[in-house]
Amino acid sequence: MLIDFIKGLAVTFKHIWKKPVTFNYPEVKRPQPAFYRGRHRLQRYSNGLERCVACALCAAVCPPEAIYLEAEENDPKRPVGAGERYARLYQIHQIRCIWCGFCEEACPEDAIVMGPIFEMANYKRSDFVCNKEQMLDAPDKGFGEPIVLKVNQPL
Amino acid sequence: MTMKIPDPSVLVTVTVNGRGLMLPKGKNLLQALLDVGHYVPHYCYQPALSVAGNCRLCLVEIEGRPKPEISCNMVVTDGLKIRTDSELIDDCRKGMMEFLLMNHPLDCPICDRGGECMLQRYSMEYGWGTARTVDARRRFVKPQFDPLIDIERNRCIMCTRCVRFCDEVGNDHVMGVFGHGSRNYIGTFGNGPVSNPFSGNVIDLCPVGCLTSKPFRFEARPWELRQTLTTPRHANGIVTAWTRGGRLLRVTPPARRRHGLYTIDEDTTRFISNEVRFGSLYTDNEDRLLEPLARGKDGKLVKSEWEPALDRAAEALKACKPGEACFIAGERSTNEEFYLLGRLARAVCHTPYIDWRGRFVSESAAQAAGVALSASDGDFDLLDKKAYQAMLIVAAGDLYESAPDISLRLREGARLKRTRLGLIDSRVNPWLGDLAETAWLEQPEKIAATLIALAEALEKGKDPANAPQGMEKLFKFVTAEHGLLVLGLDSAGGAIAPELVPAALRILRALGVGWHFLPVTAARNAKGGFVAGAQSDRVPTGRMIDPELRVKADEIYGSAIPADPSPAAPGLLEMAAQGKFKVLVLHRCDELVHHPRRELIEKAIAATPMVIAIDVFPSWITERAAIVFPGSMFMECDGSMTDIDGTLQRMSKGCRVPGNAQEEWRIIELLGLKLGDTRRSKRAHEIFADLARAWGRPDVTLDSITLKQPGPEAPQGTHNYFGVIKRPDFKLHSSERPELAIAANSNATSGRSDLLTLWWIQHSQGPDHLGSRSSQFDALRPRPRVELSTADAARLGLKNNDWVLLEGGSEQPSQVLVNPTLAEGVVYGAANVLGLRLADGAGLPHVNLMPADAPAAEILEQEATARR
Amino acid sequence: MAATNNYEPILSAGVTGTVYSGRSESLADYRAKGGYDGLKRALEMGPDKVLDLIKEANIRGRGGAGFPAGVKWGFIPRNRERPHYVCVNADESEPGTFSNRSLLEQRPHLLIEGALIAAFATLSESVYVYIRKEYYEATRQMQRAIDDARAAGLIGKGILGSDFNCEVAIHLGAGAYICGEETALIESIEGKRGYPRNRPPFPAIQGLYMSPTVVNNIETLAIAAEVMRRGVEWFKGIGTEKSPGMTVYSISGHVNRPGNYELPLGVTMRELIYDYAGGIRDGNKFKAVFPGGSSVPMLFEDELDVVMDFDSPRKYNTFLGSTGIIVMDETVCFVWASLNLMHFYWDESCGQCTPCREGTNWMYKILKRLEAGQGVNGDVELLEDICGNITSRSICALGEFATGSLVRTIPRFRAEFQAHIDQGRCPFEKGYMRFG
Repeated sequence: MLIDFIKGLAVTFKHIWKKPVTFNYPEVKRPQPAFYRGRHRLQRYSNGLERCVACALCAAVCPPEAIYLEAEENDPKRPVGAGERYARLYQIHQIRCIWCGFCEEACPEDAIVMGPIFEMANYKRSDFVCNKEQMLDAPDKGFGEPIVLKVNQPL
Repeated sequence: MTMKIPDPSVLVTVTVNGRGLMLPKGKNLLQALLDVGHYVPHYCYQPALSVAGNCRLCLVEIEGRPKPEISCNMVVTDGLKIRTDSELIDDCRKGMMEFLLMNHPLDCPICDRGGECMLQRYSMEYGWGTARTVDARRRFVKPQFDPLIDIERNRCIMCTRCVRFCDEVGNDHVMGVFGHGSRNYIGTFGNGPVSNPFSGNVIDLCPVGCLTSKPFRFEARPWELRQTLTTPRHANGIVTAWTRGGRLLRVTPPARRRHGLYTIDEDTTRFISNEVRFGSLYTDNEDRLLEPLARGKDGKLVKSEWEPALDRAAEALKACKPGEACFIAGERSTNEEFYLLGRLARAVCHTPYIDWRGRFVSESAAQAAGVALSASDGDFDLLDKKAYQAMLIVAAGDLYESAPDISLRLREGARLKRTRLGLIDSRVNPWLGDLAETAWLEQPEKIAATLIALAEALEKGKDPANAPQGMEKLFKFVTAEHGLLVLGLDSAGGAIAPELVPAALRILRALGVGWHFLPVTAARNAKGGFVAGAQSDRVPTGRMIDPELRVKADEIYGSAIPADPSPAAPGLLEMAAQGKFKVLVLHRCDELVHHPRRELIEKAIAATPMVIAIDVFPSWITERAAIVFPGSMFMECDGSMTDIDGTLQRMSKGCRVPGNAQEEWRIIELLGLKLGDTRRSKRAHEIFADLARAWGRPDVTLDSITLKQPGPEAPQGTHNYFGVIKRPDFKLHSSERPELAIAANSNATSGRSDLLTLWWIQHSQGPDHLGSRSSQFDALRPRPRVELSTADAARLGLKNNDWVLLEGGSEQPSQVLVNPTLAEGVVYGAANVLGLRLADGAGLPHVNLMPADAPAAEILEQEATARR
Repeated sequence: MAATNNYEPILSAGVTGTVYSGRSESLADYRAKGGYDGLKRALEMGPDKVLDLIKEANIRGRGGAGFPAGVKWGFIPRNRERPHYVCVNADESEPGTFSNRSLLEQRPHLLIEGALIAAFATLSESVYVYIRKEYYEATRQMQRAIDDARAAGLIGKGILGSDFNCEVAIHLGAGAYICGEETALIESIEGKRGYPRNRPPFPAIQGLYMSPTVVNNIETLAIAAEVMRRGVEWFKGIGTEKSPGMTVYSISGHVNRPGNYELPLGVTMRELIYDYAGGIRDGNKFKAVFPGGSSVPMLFEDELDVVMDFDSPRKYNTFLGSTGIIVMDETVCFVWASLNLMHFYWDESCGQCTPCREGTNWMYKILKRLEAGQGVNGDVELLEDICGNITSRSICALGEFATGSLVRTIPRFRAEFQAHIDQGRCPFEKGYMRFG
């Protein structure tokens, strides 16, 4: 019994001199791996146009049905997205979301990805409905070849 | 050349993949395989259209033939041995899918068809999975040619279904293939719109996303939609209503189930008109009445609660002595509403005055319509299920404009079943006329005389020698052993019906037992009003005059009913105009809103102290009513409609009634409860049970009404030459052209004054109480125009596109269209488009045509833009 | 050359060796040579006997398929429930074929006589002569001949005093290759897009305006006229046993004396090239030859001794076709030649059915890339695979035609195709043959 006691203490003392694995959280933030599934981001093309074409595949694949979106036709004169259609309304319910990342997998346009943000505390339930504006990348953070919107003209 | 129609009841053995199948002999092989559930992929084959054989996807291997053959161009023969699962066929399908996808853009995420696209489906089921092409894809400039159909040529796979549909069903050869080789594309001639009233069907027929619906564009993805099989209120036809979040987004023919999901049925033979497809999208209109309205002390209509409004209405009805209340049921009410109104009027308010026939302009016309309906009572399923040798259509050619869906069923029945078609009319529409074997053009007043002349000859015997002078062809036509006599009841508001109906019944007797009789009217639920007892001389059990049936009706109604005779709706309105009633209940009287006898209706409303209206949209009638109850849309209420051929159609609830509105049957029942009726139903099913009991069919329930009303069956054989396009002998022969028929009986025109007989209809795409609330309806709206025969136009010195004014008809000028297949001395127009006003309903109106100035250019341009 | 050395041209009397002489035979000239005697004889014999005679003569269709004309006429119902039609296929648009043109321009009456005999034998009263639009001179001569014949009572009511009535009308094509296909030709006459029809039903049952229709090449009809005049025995004495008679070979390409050569069937390809056409130009080496227009697979050096009748070339999977012989010498790059052909088929595909519409387009793109030196490994195999996917799966034969040359060329000259990929450019010198 005494041996066991010493054994236990040995573990304790071994760890006293080690660097702590915990972080001083609010001040120090732990780095996220690249594949971390935090709050969703909506990406853009390098010319600032939204990648999302509102195909609703993310909404279809979402197991808890946390995604809701409404599409609208893109005005070629003042384009929002790169396709003929863009998402006028794009909402993700952060409480419903189970962070499975299926939306990221389903997206054919690389528009939705899961980002590093994990601090999503709010005071009201309704604030957990995340809007497109909250998720969109900054206009200069786009990537990929700039897509020039095809203006469809009648013959 | 007469096509030999094989007998479908003869089954022969066909070996498919080594397994013996019994298939009907002579049937199209592909259709026969599909019917027994052996799926063969196909794009260009469509049961209602002719065989094109251009997609090459339905190839099958046939024993004894070196090459694979397309199954859509083969017929079932005895001992046929085919394989659909061999390596060769797999390779064929893979190859074809690769070819089809080679130039197809990869924009499935954006494409509206994505999710219900046959190209997606087949490439998953039969395709390669990888692309071997590295070359650039073909691209076309995107044109816009139709206000309602969006075209994206890059996605086209050239199945030519749309082209064949417009040629064969729409009968206007407006779509075509342009260019050649791999650069060919579909389009319309002159880049104009697809003009026929059924053009929306090309959206469903397109197996890919080339033709998509503009109103539905980017509204939702197909898998997000909820489907409800139902029937609309304002037009005939079983449809699937596709809703998302309680909003109706599109209307299509009934969907089909495939792989556990409902999708658009590309292979349907039941097409729907644009009126149903686009005109039904009125449910989220902001004009809608959502609160009961009651007239306050200051004479203004204000919003009210249900209880006080119901109380006030009940009070007024209670104060009526028997016979002082009058109920007019709109022709678009459901059977249940008709029944409940009948009960409310007769059993609760003890008034005999209830009728549905507001559409007709005169009492005699309405009575004649009642006679015609009872003559065909008990003869069901006349349209889609039976096959006839001949179909004689009398004075019903205008249904193409007034009720396109019924007209389509008539024509498709004749076309697909290869029925001989004969027409007796004042105006031959090429749409029917091109299929007709014989067409007899006659002035409206003389149609009845023509029928009687034929009947007299027939009564002497079917020997061709008995044919009246000049009518040999028509006589030969009516000597067919079995056929269908279709009689139009409501052209010119039924003005000629009083003579026409007895004449039709006489010829029907002369034609013999093989002939069936089908009176048709554009009134949506005419047959429902007739069978559910909302007609002045009918109770749900049958004719009111029959004492035995009346006793039964008393039992169903739960109280004895008044036996006084009652006039039909036009007569009731005239009585009301004389101030005979204290209360006038107008239940969904959509047809009165744009009625040509508006003066009479105005008078009737003004002369009645209390007008109660049940409606969904405000109109000049609701504005003058004392109490208005808000009703429901077709998507929001349960019930049943009766098709013109007697088939019950289920109207089912797909979403809840918005705001404070209620389902109509509940409103009528609530009113009854206030008046001392004791019956209260939880669902429309209970009301229907009463009706079923009255009809002696207590086993039928609302849920047992089949929603799977099939379309006309696909014809036998490989009907390559079936469509008009490849079958010139199906058209009118020059010797049978109606022009010549006119010449034969044009002696009738001598000694006529300058007045022209006005032959009018209510255009289904003209101003309509419900349809007009659909924002897409504007694009469909016809121009104000009148049609003149060639001779009259020459006499009056008018030519196409001249502007005229109908003296005594309307204030707005309309354009002239010279129609060579219009009887002489007749001017034809749509009452609601022209804004026609009739002083009285006696006989056919006669009008004078005055040349007029064209409207200002801006107005015309505005109209044109709206249509674009 | 022995058997055919002293053959006197019959069909193209005075035409052989030249492409175009510019002289059209007048009615008087033609009648002086015994013209319209065949028709007179036919009218005396009656339709059934004429049909038997043509069947006995075994005139095989010169349009390409070699189907016996008598059998084809025999398919026509022997009643007059519906009107019958005769369509004369003068839409000679096969690359490398130009024999019909000189016949049309120089001996129009021979064709009219043949067409009238065909109409008589098939109980028909109307003949449509479908001429391609580009044959302006031919159309002019034909129209003049029709007018002359009508004036002489050879067309119209009561021809040559009999009770046979027949009208002949010219219908001009609009320049589509596919309208040479019989059902597309029928659609074109009906005023529709020249789309080939699915078979069955065959034109003999439901052709023009849903009526029984005979479609024959003009050369077939010309021969029929000669057979009626000179008899079956004379005809059977010419040519081989299974392919009796003569035909006009159009030889073009890299030979010293290109032109039309009317010869009995049975001459070999080697004779045609080296004896009649004067051998390969500039003393170059022979490489390949299309024996019957560009639509049929090629013949190569070791196969030149094939007898050019309807059946012999089949052992090399090729056909006599429309007897348009295109000779290619060693300077020809097969990739370039295939590209040239594929451009033609891509351009002329009617676009009705999937394999031909998309397949020709794809192959054209691949060949264009190969020729430009941008081919990638696997392209040649891909081409072969696409050929397999088109062949025998299209509505009409254009699919087979388009792949015809490639299916035989690629296996044999794979190295040449591969060289384009490996070297990244076309290994042949040909400044004048740039192709866009």
